Amino acid sequence: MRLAKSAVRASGLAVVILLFLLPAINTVAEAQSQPSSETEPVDAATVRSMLKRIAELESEVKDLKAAKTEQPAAENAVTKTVQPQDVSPAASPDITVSNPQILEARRGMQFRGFGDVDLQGGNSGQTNGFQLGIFNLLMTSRLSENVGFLGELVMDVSSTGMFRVEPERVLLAYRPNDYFHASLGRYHTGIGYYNNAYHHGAAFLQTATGRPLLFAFDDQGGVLPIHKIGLSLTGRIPSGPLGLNYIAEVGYGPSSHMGMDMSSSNPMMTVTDDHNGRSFNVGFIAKPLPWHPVQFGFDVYHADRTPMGMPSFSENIYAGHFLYLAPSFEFLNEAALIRHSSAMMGTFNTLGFYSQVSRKWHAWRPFVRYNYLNAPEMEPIFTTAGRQSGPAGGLRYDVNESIALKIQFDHLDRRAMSAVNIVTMQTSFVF
Amino acid sequence: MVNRRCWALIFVLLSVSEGLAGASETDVVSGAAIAVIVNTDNPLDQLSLADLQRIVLGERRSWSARIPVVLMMRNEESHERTLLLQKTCHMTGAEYHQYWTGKIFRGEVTSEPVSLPSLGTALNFVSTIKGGISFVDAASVRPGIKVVRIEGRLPGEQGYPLQ
Repeated sequence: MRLAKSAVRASGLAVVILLFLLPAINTVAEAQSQPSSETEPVDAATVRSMLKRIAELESEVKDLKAAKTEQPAAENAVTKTVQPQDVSPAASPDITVSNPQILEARRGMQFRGFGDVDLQGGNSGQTNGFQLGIFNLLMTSRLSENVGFLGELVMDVSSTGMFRVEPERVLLAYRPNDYFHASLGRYHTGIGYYNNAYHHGAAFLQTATGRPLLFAFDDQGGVLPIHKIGLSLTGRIPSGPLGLNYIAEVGYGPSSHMGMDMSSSNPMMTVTDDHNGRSFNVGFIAKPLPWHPVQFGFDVYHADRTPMGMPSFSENIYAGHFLYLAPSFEFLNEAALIRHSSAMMGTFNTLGFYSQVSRKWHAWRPFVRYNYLNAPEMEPIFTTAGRQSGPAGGLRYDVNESIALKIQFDHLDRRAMSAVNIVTMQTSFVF
Repeated sequence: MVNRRCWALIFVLLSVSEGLAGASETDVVSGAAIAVIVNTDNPLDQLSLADLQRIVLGERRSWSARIPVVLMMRNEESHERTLLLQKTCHMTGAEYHQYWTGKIFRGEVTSEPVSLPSLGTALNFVSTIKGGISFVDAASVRPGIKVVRIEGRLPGEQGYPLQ
């Protein structure tokens, strides 16, 4: 009986299992009974579409993974390099408020360095051989949304062979918009183009190995006032396609910056003025859009100067420039008339100009320049300037974005003196 | 007189070579159009190529008195950066880097423009920063940002200059 019951249970279980299995068996049987010719085209199309879809999904996954890994890097990059003045609280509250690293970066200081080493030979009177150029440390920092700091510390070797360190520029700058930019501190005057485009240690940035004769630094015998302590205002003038810009400067300049006369005991002002006479410089620069990349402008400068042991002079400088500044071609032309007037000694006009042409072919840039400077023989301040003129030419090779090699030949005819020929090879770099 | 003739000859030769060699200086890059994108809150709708150049060169630094231009370049290897620099500034990447080094040296800026490493980052930052401007492949533009007309044309339109 028990056996019968267990047999019935077993058969019942088997029936139940069979009932469950039947549809599956039926499905398999149906599948097997389908002709193979019907399945093949469907599978091929499906596979093709699936492969396509897989490729799309893989691409999306790749992008998502990349985005996920790039996000922190991007945030770091922005933290390090975004310009504080570029991100105002009103402009991007999320970033400026919620990301303290950005705020920290604003107050960080950035360093740049410039330097050069020269190999010089010629009959200029200096010994032939290697010369250490200028080592320039440029510091910039953003103090707030519109206020920044610039410091330029220059280390070079004096004529006595001693190292000297001088803060050439120390500026606190306020720039709320394109139309108003105020700088307070020790600055380079805005006379001409070259003076503001290439400061100390700019061997790497400028095409030639050195500055034009007209723009030699005033603490190295130049005739133009280069350094001032005071206030400089620059900005754009709403002028549409004319692209006008203004420069207005008031500085406490040296009463008797010596120009070429380095024999004086009154050196170039470095800290403060030695009299109460102010210097003024007003200039306009035009960068007309239709004529891009042409730029031209002029400056008018005035100062009162009192050289030691001499009556005071009125110094007026009229400078103009015309430039064509394309990345691969530059044509620089600048001229200045320096007029010293004294009731007792009369008026003396010193004229100077330079013209420079260079053309870039890939990493190579040949250049030529012509220098001219003519100070009257009786000029009371530029006592040794005299008349100097002559061509210079050379070749620049950019090794990479940070290193440039140059070779330059200079010929200078001098009034009542023998001509000077100099060959200079220069390695300049930025870091 | 001889000197004058030499100078004139040099200038003429160099001037002529400028036109001839201008295109060969940088390898001509072409391909997909790049879109100039700004934040949707930016009232700007269009720019001339000259205005775009001034922005890329850091000469124009504010949209208005209250909104500064936040220039966000693409990374140095990107097609967008290469094409943009060539079409607007006629510069290579190295020349552009050198240009900004000069600006920093002159005290005009404190650092180079930020370089964004990816398309997604460019889109995100422009959609976040009110004064932001960046450059992306025109096919990658998404809702939430504004594409600026250049010389009155949008990417894909005939005569669009950034392609």
